[in-house]
Amino acid sequence: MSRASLRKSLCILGIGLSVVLFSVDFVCAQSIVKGVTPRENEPILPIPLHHEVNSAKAKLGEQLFHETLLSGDNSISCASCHNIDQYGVDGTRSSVGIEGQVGTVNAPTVLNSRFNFAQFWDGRAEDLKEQAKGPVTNPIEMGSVWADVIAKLKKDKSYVQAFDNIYEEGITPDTVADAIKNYEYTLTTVNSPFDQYLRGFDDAITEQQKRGYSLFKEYGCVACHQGVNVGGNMYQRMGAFIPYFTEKNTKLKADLGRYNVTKDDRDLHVFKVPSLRVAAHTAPYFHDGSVATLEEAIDIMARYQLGYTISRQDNKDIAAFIQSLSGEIRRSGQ
Amino acid sequence: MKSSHLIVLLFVFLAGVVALTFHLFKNETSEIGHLSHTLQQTLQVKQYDILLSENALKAASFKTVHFDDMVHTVKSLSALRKSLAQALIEISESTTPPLKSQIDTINEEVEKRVSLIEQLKAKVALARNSSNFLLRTLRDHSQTYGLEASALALRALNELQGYQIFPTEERFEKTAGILKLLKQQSVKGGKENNLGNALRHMEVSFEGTQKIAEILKELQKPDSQDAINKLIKTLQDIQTTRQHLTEGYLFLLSGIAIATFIALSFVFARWVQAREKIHKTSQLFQDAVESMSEGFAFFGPDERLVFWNSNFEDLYSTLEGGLETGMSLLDFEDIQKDTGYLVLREPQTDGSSIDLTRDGRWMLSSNTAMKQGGYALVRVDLTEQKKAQEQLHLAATVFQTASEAMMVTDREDHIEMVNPAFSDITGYSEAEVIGKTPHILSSGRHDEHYYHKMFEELKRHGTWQGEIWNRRKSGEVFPEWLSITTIYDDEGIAQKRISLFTDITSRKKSEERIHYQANYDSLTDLPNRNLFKERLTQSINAAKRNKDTVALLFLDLDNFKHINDTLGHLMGDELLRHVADRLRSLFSASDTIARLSGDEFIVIINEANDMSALEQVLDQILECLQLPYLLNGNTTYTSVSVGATLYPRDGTTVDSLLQNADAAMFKAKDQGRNTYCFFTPEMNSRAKERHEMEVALHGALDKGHFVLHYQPIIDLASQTIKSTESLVRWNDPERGLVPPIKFIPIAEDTGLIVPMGEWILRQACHDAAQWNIEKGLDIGVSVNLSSRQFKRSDIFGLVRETLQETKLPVEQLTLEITESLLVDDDSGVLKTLRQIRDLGVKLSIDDFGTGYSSLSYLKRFPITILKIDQSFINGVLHGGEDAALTEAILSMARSLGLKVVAEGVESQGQNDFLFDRDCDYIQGFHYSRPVPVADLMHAIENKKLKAKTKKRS
Repeated sequence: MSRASLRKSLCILGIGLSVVLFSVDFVCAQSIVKGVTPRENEPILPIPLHHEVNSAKAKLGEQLFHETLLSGDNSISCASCHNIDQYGVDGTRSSVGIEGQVGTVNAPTVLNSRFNFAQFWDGRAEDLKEQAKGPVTNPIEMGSVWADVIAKLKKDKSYVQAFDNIYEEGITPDTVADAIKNYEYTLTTVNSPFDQYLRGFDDAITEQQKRGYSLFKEYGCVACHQGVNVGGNMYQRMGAFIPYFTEKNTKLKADLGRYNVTKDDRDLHVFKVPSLRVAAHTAPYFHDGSVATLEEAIDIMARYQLGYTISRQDNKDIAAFIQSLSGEIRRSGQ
Repeated sequence: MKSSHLIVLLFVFLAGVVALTFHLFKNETSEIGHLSHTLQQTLQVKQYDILLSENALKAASFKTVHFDDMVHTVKSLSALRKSLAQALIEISESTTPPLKSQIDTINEEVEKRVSLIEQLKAKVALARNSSNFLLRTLRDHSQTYGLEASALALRALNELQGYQIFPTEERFEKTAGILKLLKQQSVKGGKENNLGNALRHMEVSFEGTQKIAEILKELQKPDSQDAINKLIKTLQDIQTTRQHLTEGYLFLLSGIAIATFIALSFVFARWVQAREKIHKTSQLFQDAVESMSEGFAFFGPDERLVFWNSNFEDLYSTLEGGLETGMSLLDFEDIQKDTGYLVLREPQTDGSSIDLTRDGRWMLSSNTAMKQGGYALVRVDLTEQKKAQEQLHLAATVFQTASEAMMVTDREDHIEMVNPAFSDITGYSEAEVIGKTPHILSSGRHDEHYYHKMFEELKRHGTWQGEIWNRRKSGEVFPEWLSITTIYDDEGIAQKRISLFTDITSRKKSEERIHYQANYDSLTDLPNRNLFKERLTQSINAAKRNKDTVALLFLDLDNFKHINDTLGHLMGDELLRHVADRLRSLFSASDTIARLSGDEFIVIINEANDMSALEQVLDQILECLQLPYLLNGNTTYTSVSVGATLYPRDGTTVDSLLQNADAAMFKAKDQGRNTYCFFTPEMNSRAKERHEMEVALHGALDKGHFVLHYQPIIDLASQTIKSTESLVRWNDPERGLVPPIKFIPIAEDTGLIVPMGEWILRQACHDAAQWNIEKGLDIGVSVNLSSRQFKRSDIFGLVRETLQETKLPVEQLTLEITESLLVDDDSGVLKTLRQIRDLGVKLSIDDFGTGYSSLSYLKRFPITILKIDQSFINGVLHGGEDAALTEAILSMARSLGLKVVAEGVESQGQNDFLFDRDCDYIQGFHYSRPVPVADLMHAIENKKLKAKTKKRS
């Protein structure tokens, strides 16, 4: 490159830079005027717009997520109960496993599950990889044996090829779970109206939803349902204020909650606080799926966690706020 | 065995020793590397464990609004522990207790803590849940509880919140007590009532807080830290032993090498004796010795140099005179020492030594005497090893301790190594980035073209430098100064790249901080006057474009000065912070709340087009700010007066709007405070009036418009005038006699109080000196000192000078100070008061009982007189609290040896009450109002007031 042309290109670069800098300044100035400064120090955080994703693993995981070979009689897959198009649930009280067996707890959504600090209602799995193994061998869910699953997958050359490309150790229970985990990592709902509101766009949610949010804080709901997932980062007793379970109505082992994991009396009827991110779309509610509507769930929460009968209007406002928490189902990284 | 075979055997052995040395050397570096890496990991575990404690403390003090950060800490800690356990397996070492059990203990302790953390989260959430709910429910329902219960509930909530912030034993008792009272109220109210529910919440919150304190105590036990520290200690010990061991091995191997040479020498000696016979062996030996990598020389039985190899020659090539056959061993050694060829000789235990030559060469030297006579000299060149060792050490230290981040990538651009500074800056630990590409740091701010150019440049020149934006693990984007260097192998193919970068955020941050300090108030974190003006200008411009209305609210706290004076400045500051917080909670981010000065706040509301909405906001402000404040355990109340003005209706410039809002605020004050007022044009006159008064006040001192009046203080027992209190009056030609309440605050605000106070002191002392000296009256004078005056000038010097100038007998002067001066507990104040006291001047406390009345400062400060505030005296005849308090103050003062003046005595009844209780002095209209000095003298001459005269000598 001759010296003259070098100087010329430097000059162009310089102009380009100043244009960029100027427009940055301009955008900043705009944002002060329009007031799109993000809300800070709020108990709820927006879901990040981008994540690091291993797309090869995620792609393989997606295939496995929909793979019926994982079940004992090749009838169901993960997606049977966690329907991505239905906000990651199946809408039933408790899901149906192989041979028509009905489970005891309500299938939670897989959407945004990467933000939960532990998995399952009682938090018995530390992460999604550990969780992904659970249902495969659960006799009333997929009812399989790992050796069989691996053997079935190995018969499919495309699986063998895909695993060998990614994992040194090929197809193992660990790599199957890892791939599914990587797929589930992509399942986040971003840019919800409420997240937009948090990012400083005041008009992103309605007046009713704003009212709902402030009630959500005033009533103290936000003490447990906070953080990026609006829940999913702590344990709390169901019936913290007024006992929800009595000896009479404790029917299921699952009703004992975290006690099943720790055998500590303090954990009796204690559950992972569920995320409210897509709660508006994942009826029925609670660990046993015993409550049909969001409004009833809010009433029960007020009754048993607060000892308070909430007014019709407040209930509706809070429900409207919860609606605003659901974003687009988008696979980040795509 | 033949000598030649033996020599070959010895050489094979020697080669083995050398190979072993290198192997050991290589192993040493990699093992020590692994050890120090493991140590780093352990230190990280320690850090995260500490972070966990910090998180817990923050959550327990209700300072965390969500638990995501805490969860992140727990997750990181668990990942770190796992990789540490893995790294420990690779260290084979017998320690007590074994490494396995040490990491098990750490895991056990940390898991215990994690389970405590889970309990803590649940309890904190419950307590907060109840607190939030209580605020709401008390606001909405407290009127249904009944008057007494409602007040009690409010007090209970205050106590509870105080206990939550400072869970002390004392607060616990207090809170428990009040909850008990409330429970009795609730039982009276029947079964299912709102109060019962609120009470239950208070109890839940109270229990939760106790539990939180317990959990926190448990969490703060040092067990986990102890376990981690123990592991760190063990690893450091291993590191030290390992280093010693390798050094020992190296030394041993050198010894073996020397021993082999000695054996060689023996064989050689034999060979010299029989060289005629075995010429062939000689040749073989010479070749062998020549091919050795060590230096070797042989001195014959006559100690003369017989033979040396070329390596030996090389080692001594710069020796003066060089090597000659037949030179004596003694000369050889002496020349080395005398010419300075030998710089350093470190003798070793086996008789050999390590020598450093002038050329910078290190060698292991050994001179061994032969049985058959003669010496074998062996020199092993250690220079390269020494250098390598030093460089390795140096490089490792630089790498570990540099403040620049360093990252080494291999030819496939995978990260191989990073240093601690890298982790500090990017937030990624070593384990998280090894094997990844530097792309994980990419911020997305630069396009592909940018990186393409960078790589082109690197390919062509091998280096690149520049400012680049990268992304931390936390997602934060930051600027760094990056320089990349390529390392090539012998064939010129790029092998590795070293990236060096510094975070230049701090430079940018300090720019931001300077900006912050210039624009924000450090006490409340609110924008200051500066930024407020800028924002208002922006708001006005935007409103002009969009045809919007902007509302400007000027807020002034109603009794702030009183709170400051009675509770002290620290509490005053705390109150301002609370007020700022409450205001923040009322407004959205698009509105601006600023603190102008002192207790003045201002709010800009954009797009305030709806009048009724604005009025609603104003009502909210009043309501919100008059709720009780809990300041360090004291419940305090304040309210606010608000002046509101609108752009463009009332004004179009920043200054005119500010002036309007100020005027409207004064109107609100006039209307009885705790209210708001919209600006109307006639208000300007009011603001103008204050301004004019300020101007007039400035001139008043020079023009002699101030006068002093004196109010007698009567000795109750003798009914004579003991002293007088000097009181300033402003006699303005236009305004007439202006009451102090109107101009003293202005004087204090403008700083005029200092020269004014000086004048008052001089004048009062002058007047008193006159009646003492010229008229022989035994009457003192007391002068009020304002706190502000006290702090802004050298009071001690002024008092001393004034006494000298006026010749007033020292014991006739009393200085009156307010309690507020004492509560700050300023050692400077104490010192000045002692100095004044030591002069012989009396000190009295004015308005005693209205503020932070505390026995402790009465004992600490050199006070002689208490003045009971007139508000108590007003009520003494009605019995009840005032009478009881007055009696209490009187008996307390007696026990402390203090005299008491009762202020504001207006009736005979009050006089008698005080007389019966042995009060020392009385001041009030009952005897006389404050009068000019001439009137006072007149009254004494006319015997309307009795005075003692001094006995003239």
